Amino acid sequence: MKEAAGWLLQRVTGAFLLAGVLFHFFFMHFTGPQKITYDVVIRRLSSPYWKTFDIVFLSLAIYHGFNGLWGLVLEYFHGEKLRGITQVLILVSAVVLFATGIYIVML
Amino acid sequence: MRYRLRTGSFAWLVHRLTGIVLTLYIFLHLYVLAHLKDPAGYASIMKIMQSPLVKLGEAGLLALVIAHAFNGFRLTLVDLGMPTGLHKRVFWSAFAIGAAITVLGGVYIVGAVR
Repeated sequence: MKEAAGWLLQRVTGAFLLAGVLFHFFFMHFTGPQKITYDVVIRRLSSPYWKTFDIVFLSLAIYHGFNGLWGLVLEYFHGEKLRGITQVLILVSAVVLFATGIYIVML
Repeated sequence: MRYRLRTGSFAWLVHRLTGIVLTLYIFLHLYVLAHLKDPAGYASIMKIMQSPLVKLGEAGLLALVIAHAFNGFRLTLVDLGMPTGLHKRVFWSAFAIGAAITVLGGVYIVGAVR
């Protein structure tokens, strides 16, 4: 049951990320340098809508990415110790990235 | 055990490799964005980000993102019970649409069109 929920959540987050990443690229990457100057970016980040989008998008990406890596760990790493170390690395990475994201949108 | 590299197993391998790279890329992305804390620091990192080599890398990143996203969409269709007879056709359709977005987006990113 727990694994089925993880599988489903990976698909659901993936679907949102597909939409989110296209939106993200169209707005942030397919535009000229004038759209990513310091003032423009800070002004955009001051909007609660962008803050919300960025944090939701980042959270989904962190969950999806590290849950995927954890799946690979379970598949390739069989030692108890190696799994434990990678689990800690994955959890610490996820927390650090999330905290960094919060810090950036609050600038 | 050895695998023969056919369409499905090739997509499976690409999905894993791009997934690993994209997850680790979040570190680099947020590292760059953290430079927003002051205008001077941001200016210096953006100077690097605007260099042709980095722009090319950004286009490559788009290719990885599109490959992973479109293959993930295809996988979800497979999971939802898409008929086996359609697998190859859906793979090549996703490949064609993904390649088109990558080339068009890549051209914009590199700055050939403005």
